Amino acid sequence: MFNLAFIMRTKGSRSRRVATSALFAALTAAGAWISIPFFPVPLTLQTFFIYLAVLILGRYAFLSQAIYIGMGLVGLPVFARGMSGYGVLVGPTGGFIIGFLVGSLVGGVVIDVGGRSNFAAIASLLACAVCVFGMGWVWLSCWLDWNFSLALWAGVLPFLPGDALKAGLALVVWKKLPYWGV
Amino acid sequence: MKAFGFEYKRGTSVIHKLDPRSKLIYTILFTILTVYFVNPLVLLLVLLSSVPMVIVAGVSKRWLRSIRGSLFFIAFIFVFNLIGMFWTTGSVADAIFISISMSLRFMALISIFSIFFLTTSPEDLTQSMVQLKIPYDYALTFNMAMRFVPTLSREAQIIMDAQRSRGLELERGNIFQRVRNYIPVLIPLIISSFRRAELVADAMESRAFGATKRRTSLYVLTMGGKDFLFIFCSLAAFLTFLSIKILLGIQ
Repeated sequence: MFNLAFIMRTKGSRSRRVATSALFAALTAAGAWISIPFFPVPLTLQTFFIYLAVLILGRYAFLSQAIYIGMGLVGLPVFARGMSGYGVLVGPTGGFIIGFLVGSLVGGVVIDVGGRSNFAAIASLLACAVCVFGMGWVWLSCWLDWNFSLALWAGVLPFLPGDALKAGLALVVWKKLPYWGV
Repeated sequence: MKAFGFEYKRGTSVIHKLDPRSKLIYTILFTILTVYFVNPLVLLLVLLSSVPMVIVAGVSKRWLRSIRGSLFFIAFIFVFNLIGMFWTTGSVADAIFISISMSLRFMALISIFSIFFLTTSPEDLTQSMVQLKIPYDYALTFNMAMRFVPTLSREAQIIMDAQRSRGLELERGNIFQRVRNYIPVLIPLIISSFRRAELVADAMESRAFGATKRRTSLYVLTMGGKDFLFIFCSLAAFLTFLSIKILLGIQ
């Protein structure tokens, strides 16, 4: 009953696509709550689930992220540190959340065009990460009076080692899914 | 994770019973006002104009909480604008003026948005999304994701407890070991949630999801006299505020 085709043929079945997109929106929200102590900033599983959504859903990862942001706007405490609302989105760290949206679309298109090969998967993860951190970086520096280097040190560089780890883990999980019989 | 829940609580006030679309019009009109004006007095008036609605709707406690929740951002905006404006103009009065109005603008925006979302049920929201011609798939995904969130966070907690009872120590070892400790939590969570998603998809198909091109609803939202009155009042307030700008020349 639990077969790989379910995930791989997300284009084929409308109900599966809807259910999986909803699942990833919810996982991204739950990921903000699971934090792992890591130097210099705690890791949350949020970007891990975004990377996994890009690999599994392709360009439909965009839908799951749009829904995730929608849930935050409605007032569910789905953003990092249990926050919610319009304020988080326009606040200093809002660029990362917008970046989830842009990154999932760009990464998803890359893997869809690249035909789900290993190379396309790595390229899509890179594209997604560049979008997330690029948006976050520019947005944060806008709030810091366009001080790009300060924003880079405060908001981008500390997260990079952790995100490289999470992207690697997402790749491993994605390759292992058939073996686990999902 | 215990605080996880819907902000929305069922209510019976006039504001709760309004059509979401009429509340959306109010939200859009007043958002334009807050972005359009710089004068702190006008922004304060816009902020205060939402207070009677909050009291009528009986959501004042949660409204206060959403304002309090964004205090960090308000402080950030205030301090940043104070420093930034003092740096560029060199006048303390100007800097304080701008910082106060930016903070008030932000508070007014939060207040207007929270009225909409605190008084609109997720079901009404989905239904109004469908009636605003948003594809049903997206509206349904939205509703389904909202139901998935509490389930998933509970499941994550159960898996963590189960692995702890088998001797998994999450807060042990160096950085890389700590990250590795989370893998026995993560993998069961992913697998079980995929299985759940597949069951949901099967349930949807067995209920003939997507079988017919045109989908009809049992409950249809209709605009009543109250809704048109509400829209009229919002529009009147909007035009009054605009005329302040034109007649008195207040920025």
